[in-house]
Amino acid sequence: MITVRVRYVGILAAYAGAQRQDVCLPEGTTIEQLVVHLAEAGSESLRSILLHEGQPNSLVRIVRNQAQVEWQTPVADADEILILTSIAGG
Amino acid sequence: MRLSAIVNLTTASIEYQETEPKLKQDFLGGRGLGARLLFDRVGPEVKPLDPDNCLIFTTGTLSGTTWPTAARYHVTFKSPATEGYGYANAGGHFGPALARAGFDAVIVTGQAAEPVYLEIAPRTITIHPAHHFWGQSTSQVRLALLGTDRDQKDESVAGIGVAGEKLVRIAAIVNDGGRAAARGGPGAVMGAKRLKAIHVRAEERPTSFPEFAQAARQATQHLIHDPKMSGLMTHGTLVLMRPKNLSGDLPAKNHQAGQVPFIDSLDAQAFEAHRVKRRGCYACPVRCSRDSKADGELYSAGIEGPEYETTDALGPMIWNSDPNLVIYANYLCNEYGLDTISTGVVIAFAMECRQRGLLSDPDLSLEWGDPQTIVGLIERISRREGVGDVLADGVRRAAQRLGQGTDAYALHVKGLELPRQEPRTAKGFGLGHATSNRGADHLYGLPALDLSGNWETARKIFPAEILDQLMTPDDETYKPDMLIYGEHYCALTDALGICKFSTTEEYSLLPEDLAPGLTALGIQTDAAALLEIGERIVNLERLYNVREGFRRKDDQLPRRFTQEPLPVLENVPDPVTGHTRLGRTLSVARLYDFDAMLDRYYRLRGWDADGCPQPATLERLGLSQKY
Repeated sequence: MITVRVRYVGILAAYAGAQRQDVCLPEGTTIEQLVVHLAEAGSESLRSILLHEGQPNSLVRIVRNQAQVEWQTPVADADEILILTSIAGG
Repeated sequence: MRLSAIVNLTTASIEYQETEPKLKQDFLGGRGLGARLLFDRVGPEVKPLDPDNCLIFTTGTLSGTTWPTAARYHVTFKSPATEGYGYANAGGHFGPALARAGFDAVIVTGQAAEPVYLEIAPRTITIHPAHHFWGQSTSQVRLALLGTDRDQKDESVAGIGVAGEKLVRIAAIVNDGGRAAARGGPGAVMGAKRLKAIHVRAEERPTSFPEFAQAARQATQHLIHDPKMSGLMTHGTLVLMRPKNLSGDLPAKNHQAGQVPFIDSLDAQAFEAHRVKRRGCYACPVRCSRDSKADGELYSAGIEGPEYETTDALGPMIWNSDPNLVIYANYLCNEYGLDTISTGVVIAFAMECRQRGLLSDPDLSLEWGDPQTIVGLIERISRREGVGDVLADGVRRAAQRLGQGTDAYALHVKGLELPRQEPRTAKGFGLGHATSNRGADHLYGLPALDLSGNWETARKIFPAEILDQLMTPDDETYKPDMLIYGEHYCALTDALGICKFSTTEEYSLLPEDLAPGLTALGIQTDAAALLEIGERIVNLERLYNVREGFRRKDDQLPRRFTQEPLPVLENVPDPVTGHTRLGRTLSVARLYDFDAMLDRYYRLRGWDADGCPQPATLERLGLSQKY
């Protein structure tokens, strides 16, 4: 098993009920699987943000160790994973 | 070699000259060139609607080339909205056509005795009578001049509608059917000159240097394969609607709220039902735009759009939940030639004044979301009829005329109505709205690195020790740092004539990615030199306003944002229908210390505590002669 630190950025922290949480996962868990795990463990509201039709919502942006990451990238022990809904300019 | 032309409408004379090479070296083209030309030609003694104001159309260094997104043009003028520095910028095909017709700049001065339009052929400008066009909509004139309402790659029309003719201070210049150089009232300046339209016919596309073509291709590939761009490419800026409703950054009811309970009606998915086809500007691989159709019983209209700013302004801001009405109102604004952002804010102002018992109208209810009010006010504002005459000059002047404390609901900075970000939530934008030299403006700095979670870019630009705070949306400490970088890069983007969706929106291309293309054109440069040009432009624009008397007192946000906290409510999906409603309060958004942000902004810029550039800053930027 590995442990990653998840940080919810901005308003998502309120939906998650915490700014940070440590999550234990099987080795080889992908970013996509992590998001699904967090959604299913969270509130209905959080789930509706993180998932769209059962898949990670494209509006959600994930930052792994301060870098963009693909959905199929496996997470590693001690990774810092930021989760936010991406808003640019307008 | 491109030319600059001075069109004097008073004397009906046209002078052509080679654009001074030193100007282009120091300021590039587009916004940079426009800034220098306006500073030198229009001083404090000239009022915005005087004949001596100039309407300066400029093309960017890359406009009209094959560089991705090189579709923008710039208009610089003394602003009827702010009475200070003004500019507007738009996409479509007008800018590339003007560049390929051989022009860096067309400076329009004076005032025609009767309405006219300009015909711009390759390296030639002719003034034609336009009395037969006066009173017509922008689309009618475009159809008459082009012979078609379809986009033409080598021809383009930019013009004003009735609003510009009536000197409405929120009037826009509309080009290519649905693009607008809108902010700050350029349509009124054009109307004051009795200039109805400009019709440009370009030359064949010029031969491109192989090295430049290669650099352009690489930049294009980078853009279209950047995962950060996928949302924009799929949905355009409407992709922002739903996430902003989550965070309290979707201004509603004149910023009395930051969210709406009807987001399902107005998000990107909802507008898909109205989309006819995807659309893009000249040379743009992002193609963020669309053609849409209103198909309600009451509204029949087709437009290019809507995009995010217009959708919020004519939707949540005025409590309108009907996408058909958003599209129809957008259509009316295009036809009459109105800035959609300012129009929405002005209507919201009127609605809040009615809400508080401070305004009424014999024919319109002025109630939140009332369709007859929305359509009726757009028409009355355009024609300066009834209450429209009060609102036509923007919220600042409307509040001055109405008195009774209505200035509390007039949401503007320096006289320009606020664009569609919520300063209490999007704090970098809040600071940017206040400090922008053209009035409240989201595109002056586009400070969204924190909101978009763009850590990769932030790591390249800022020291590691400040990143955590800088990238925390609610932390105000380093918002000035983020804003200043954005302002320089935005100014550079505008000077090159490219779209910010390739640069400061998602930082898909960085300044070092632009340098190879410019080098291939013979401009030896690098990222630092390019950003310094951006800084020079911003400082020259600030000097213009300093000369007009603008100071720190003008770099302020309306009291609503500094004194009224904003509850942010939970977006709750209904367990049965799945529809989103608003639930309990999750947090409260507020600005903690705006003055501290402003102090740091001035300090980092090398400006004094009153917002004036210091001599050492001007010396470093080569601007000391201009002050």
